[in-house]
Amino acid sequence: MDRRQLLSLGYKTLGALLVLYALVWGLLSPLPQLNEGILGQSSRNIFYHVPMWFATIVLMGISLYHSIRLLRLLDPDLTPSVSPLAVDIQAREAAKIGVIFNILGLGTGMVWSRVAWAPQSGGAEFSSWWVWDPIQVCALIALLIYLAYFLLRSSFAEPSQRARVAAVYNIFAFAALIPLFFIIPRMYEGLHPTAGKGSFVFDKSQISNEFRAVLYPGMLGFILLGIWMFELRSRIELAARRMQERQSLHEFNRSAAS
Amino acid sequence: MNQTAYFLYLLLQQQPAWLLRSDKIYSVLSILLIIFGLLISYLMFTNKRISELEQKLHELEDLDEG
Repeated sequence: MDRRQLLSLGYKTLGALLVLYALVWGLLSPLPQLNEGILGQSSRNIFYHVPMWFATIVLMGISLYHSIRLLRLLDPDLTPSVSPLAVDIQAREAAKIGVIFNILGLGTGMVWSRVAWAPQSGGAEFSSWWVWDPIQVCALIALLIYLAYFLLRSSFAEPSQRARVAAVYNIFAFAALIPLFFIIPRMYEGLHPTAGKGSFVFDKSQISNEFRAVLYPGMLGFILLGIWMFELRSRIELAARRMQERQSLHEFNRSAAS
Repeated sequence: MNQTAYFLYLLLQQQPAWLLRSDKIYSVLSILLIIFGLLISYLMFTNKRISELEQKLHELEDLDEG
């Protein structure tokens, strides 16, 4: 086993173990309850809801990196060392996994908000599934922006044109995440606990050591799990592409011989 | 009705938020562990399959070049 394989096995094992730890210890450990006990046991959802957003940002970042790489490879003055279309596949697959985590983030948030925002919904047992909170809306817009990325891709038949346009769009899509995730939530008040003041995840005065001992490993675990999923999806797509190229080369040779 | 069955019943009733508010921790954990186990098994299986496929492709490409 060479160094690269060892590193690959290491991060996958670490990711799986950290997620397992976050699942088991996140649910079984005795924890001080958030928000003066109103949230009750549901405060444990922080270990699963927050990492989804960190994994989303990391995967969208990986997608952005490959899109920039692709645009550099398309420079006519450079001799590309790798196929630009292979890099395009990597950008697409990272965005796909990022979208999955974005949907999971929205889902875990919706379930949690049913409980956490019930006191503000006129004494009802549960609040609505969707309350149009500014942060909820920003997360939904981020999802729609990335769904539009896939829609845009599907509207081009020519692969190199598709890759180029999608890469440019992807840069703007990631740039849109910055106001949606980091600026707008600080500007508007809402029901979300981070509304108007930003995330408290790294603020020692806001989150106890017991929480941080599960949350941070969980965040790293979910990010590594996402990277593992991205790596697998890319390898599958790249192998399928190589297979297709090989087949078309054989068909070309066969028709040339006949 | 055991806790896992009750959890599934609540999911079917579209009331997962009820579980979050309650202390049915072991039911939630058992379901999450099943999902996690299935996901990791799928990833490991796919990893193995794709490694085999890549190796085969590499051999075929070497043959083509030869």
